[in-house]
Amino acid sequence: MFGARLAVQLQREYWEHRGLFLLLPLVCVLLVAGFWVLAVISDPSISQPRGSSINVLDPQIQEILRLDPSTNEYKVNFESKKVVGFIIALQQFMGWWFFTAVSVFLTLYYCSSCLFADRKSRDILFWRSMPVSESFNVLIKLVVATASVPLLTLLMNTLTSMLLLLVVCTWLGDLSQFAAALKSLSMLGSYFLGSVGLVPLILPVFAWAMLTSAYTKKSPFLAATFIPLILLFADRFLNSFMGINIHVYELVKAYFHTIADVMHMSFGDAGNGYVSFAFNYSADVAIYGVIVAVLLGAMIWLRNNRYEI
Amino acid sequence: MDYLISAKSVSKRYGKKVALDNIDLQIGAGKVVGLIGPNGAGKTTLLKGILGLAPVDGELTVLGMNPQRDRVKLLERVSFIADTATLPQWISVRELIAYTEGVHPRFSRIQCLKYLAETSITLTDKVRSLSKGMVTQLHLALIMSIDSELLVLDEPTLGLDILYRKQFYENLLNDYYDAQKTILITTHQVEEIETILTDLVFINQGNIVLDASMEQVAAQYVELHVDANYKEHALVHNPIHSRRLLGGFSMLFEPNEQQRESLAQLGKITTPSLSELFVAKIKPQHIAKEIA
Repeated sequence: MFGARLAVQLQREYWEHRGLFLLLPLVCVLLVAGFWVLAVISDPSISQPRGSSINVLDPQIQEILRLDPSTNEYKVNFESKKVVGFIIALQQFMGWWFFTAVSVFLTLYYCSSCLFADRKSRDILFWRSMPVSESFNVLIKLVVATASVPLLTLLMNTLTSMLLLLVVCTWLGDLSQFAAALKSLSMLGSYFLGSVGLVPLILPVFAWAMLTSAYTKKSPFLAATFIPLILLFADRFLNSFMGINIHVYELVKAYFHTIADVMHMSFGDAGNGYVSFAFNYSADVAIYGVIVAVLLGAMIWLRNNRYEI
Repeated sequence: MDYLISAKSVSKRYGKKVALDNIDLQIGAGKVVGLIGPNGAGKTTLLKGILGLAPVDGELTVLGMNPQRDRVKLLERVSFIADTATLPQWISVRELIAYTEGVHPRFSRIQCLKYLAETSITLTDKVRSLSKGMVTQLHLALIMSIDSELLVLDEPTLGLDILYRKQFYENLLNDYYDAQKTILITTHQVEEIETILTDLVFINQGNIVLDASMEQVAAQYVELHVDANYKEHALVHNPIHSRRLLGGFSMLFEPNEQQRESLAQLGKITTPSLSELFVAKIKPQHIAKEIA
């Protein structure tokens, strides 16, 4: 019974938010794939900015990029047998950053509405007529939020890669590169692990958004974003004009610094085919775990004791 | 006797407002109980307490369980329809059935499909595409397919037209109710449920003002249609409520045997309707002043 209950609760989240978890990501995939197709067929010139990490002396890169002496810019060598694989690898690397940002935003939106929508529409009266505890209900939503970032990123990046691969191979009229380029899809596994490592660090933000959705009477997304911003401005104001430090700014700065470090490290390494977290990751996760547990407790209490239906 | 619902000194306050004021109530198995009261009387608060949706003070047990503490276990044996329009708009009928089947151990998909076959609702319909009456049919089909011991209905036919209201109660009695099941209904439309009730509870300002079986009501209260000429004679017997009729009065009494015989000589005696009894119990009058 527990398995069936778990499965159907997860299904319910998908049914309720299929626009968010399926339609929007698909639209995103089409837009990004379209952008890449246009970029490829427009025969782009690539100039190497100062400090760029593209090593043009690398023989593999030299095979794909050719210097145009008249403009001193690099052009893609579409005659190379490795060009499709190169394009796909580049798309995956850049796409991972973009799709991670999109997934985080979609999940944040999900979190800020998942405990609000049923109260607003009074559907909660139906859900609460079923033998499902609020603890279970809230935990399921947190599980969905936790899984969404890596899974959505993987889904969007894989679909974009596949679409781009098909279109570029067809455009080049060289389907022999298709099988070779498929190998570069294996990199998606490393990127996926990078996203999984990122999730525990973003969970406090998701849990905060869920708490606002369980508490506010309207505009939970605004509440989830504005309350921290107001605190931040209050901190800066008090610090600048009254010399009082309430440490919100430092906390937020340290938090985002940690996330940036993890993203830089995991995605940078993922591009090389492996993932590592070389700094004090476990201590951070433990602290964030405690914060999430406290917020989770508050959500469950609100769902059980709020007298509004 | 083991009661399905047992409330002893149950209270609930919202700040200074008293929603339930030390009420005592016992409901046995196999009853159809009407919980009737004006707006703000405490009906919904009492139902919330019974369903474990809100904490109350005092001693309240439902099927021997503490509703607040054992809510999940309790809801495996208790069903409720809080409001007909509360099914999620975004869900399809097929998904709704799959969900209920997944979370409810006593739900029968076969039974539900059988009920739905008698309606024009299809599995692919989204709830948002159904009329209010059809949503009610769907909700009732779902709830009746759960083999529960107690069904709680809070204003289940609110906003429905007369055809759907009649069909709702017909289905409830014919397809769901049996001697093992108890139904607790709150509604403002008392005249629609009076023929199906076995017991009656009036609640006003957080207090139970009447708790009786329908047989007791028939034995305890009489309505007298009295000619204007006999008004003074009737007033001697202290009616609890009265209203003017064409050429006479209708008066409600809680008489003893002797008074009953005397009243029979003054006019036509009938069992009062629930709406008459409700008004009499909820809105006490200064009789002489009212009909002077």
